[in-house]
Amino acid sequence: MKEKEATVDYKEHQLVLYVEKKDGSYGPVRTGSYITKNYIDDFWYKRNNMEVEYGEKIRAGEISPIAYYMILEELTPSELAARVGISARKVKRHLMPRHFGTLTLDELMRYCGVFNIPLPNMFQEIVTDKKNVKIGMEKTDNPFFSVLRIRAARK
Amino acid sequence: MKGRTFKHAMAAHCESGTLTALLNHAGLKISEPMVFGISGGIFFGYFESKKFPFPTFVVRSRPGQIRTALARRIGVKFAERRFRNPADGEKELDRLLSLQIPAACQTDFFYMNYLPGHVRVHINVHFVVVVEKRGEAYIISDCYSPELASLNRDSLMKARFAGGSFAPKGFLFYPVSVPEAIDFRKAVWKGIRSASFYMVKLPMPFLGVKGIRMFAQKVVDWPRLARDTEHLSHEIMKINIFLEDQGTGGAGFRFMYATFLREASELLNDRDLLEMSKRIMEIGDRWREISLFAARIGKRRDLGPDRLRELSGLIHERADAEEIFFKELLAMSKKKK
Amino acid sequence: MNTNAGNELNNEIKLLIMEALTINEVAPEEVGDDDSLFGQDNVLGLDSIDALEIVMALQEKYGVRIDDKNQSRFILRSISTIAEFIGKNRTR
Repeated sequence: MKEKEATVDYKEHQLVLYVEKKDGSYGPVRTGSYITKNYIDDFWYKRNNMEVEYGEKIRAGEISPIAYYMILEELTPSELAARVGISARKVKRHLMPRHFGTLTLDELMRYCGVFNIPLPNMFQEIVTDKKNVKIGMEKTDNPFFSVLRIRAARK
Repeated sequence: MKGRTFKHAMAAHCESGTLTALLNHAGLKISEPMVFGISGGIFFGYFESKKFPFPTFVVRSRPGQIRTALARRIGVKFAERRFRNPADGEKELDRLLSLQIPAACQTDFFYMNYLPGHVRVHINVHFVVVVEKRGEAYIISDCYSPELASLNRDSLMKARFAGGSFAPKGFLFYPVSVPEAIDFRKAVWKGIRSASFYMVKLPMPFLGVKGIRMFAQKVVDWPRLARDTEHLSHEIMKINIFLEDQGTGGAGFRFMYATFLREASELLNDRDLLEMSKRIMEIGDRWREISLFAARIGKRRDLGPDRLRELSGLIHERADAEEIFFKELLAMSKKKK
Repeated sequence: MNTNAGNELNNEIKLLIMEALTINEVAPEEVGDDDSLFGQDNVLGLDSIDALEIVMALQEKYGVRIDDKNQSRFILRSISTIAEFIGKNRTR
């Protein structure tokens, strides 16, 4: 690949590509990510649709929050089981809403660790119809306690 | 090996980049393509596994092989540790840092929160160099980050001790001795021989050139495996990410391999290698066309059978081209070693 | 006595595999020494990614290199075939 074909102006996501330089030599150049620059909106569009679709499934009682996060993070029951450190058989049960209630707090915390989410996000969805506020859960040093912060969104 | 300021640099790939940076820091001048080529890092594998929700492919040798093969071929020695107990793993890293010894750590990419959110997925084979501890945070030299980054203790611990496939178990390593003199001729040809052997001689149908063919055959069936069109589009567009963006230097490492062969041809004064480097660069250009094609049809949701057959045809062509290329390279390596 | 030593290695390999792959729903006794590890209906449900992880774990623990030159397909056929290979080639 020629250097000029590789060059993409996109500061937000930089990477190194190996190219043929102007003098004919081969070597690395630092450039922007072509796919991020051109397709990131489509990525988030699909991701948001998935969140909406699977969020509705939780509300309808079709899947548990564990299943929701597993699908969103592109994990399988087998891989999730190995990460959480409980058997795949048990994980498969936890994917079903009727078994979600049998989880121990310890198990739930381990799932939260893998998904990197604060505990309350297993039980709630945060929505707002106000554009000028930003709402988010924040973890604290106490794993059993988080903060729901509401603030004015910067422009 | 210690005391000097660690020089952060971006690199194409986390494993070869981390090794290159550590070796440079230890006083051995070597480039990332050289590290990658001598270790025989170029590869292809197509996997369907219960551990992935969708079929996937790799374009490099198995994790850790770049380090072990490089060590064997150029005579570098690494200190390597894994830990059953996370507290021991933390203590050892802190001890090294207090002695100003930067160490490479294997991590789950998901927790590298200084990188853009859309790239961070659960992959347990991301390598970073931990350079320094400042209070409760660690200074990280990550090949994918333009600058040195800071990562809090909690994230680093989670990343080093994530479970799942290829679980890092706190794995860390750093060079303890670098050789005075290296027989580059021997190392280069061994690396070339092993890479071409793996590409064309493995009997498993999902590895090497056979793996590229399997990919070409299976991709037309992907619609049956996808939940819906948007999911299929996501998976098809990941072809681009795996080949270009996920630390390959472009075209699934083919461009970096071309650069290695070019550098080797100059070092060994070998015109055949120069010729081969041009050829793999061209092969890479066609891989990059596949990446762009996949991104485009994914975005347009233009994913009907005809389009996927077209994609499959392009991948088959790559298999044919690489079969010829690596067979010739293998023959050359047997003659010249 | 020889068979005992062999069994010990077999068990060690079983445990290594189960630890490397975080398998905790099958007891080591349920895996027969001569059971096919990757065939249809294998008790552990192993696939190609597991094979890769097993190769890496064996390499780390016993210092053996398994690549095509010594035919990984045959080595990874069962616990017994792995143990036989390790017994002959181990460096640690």
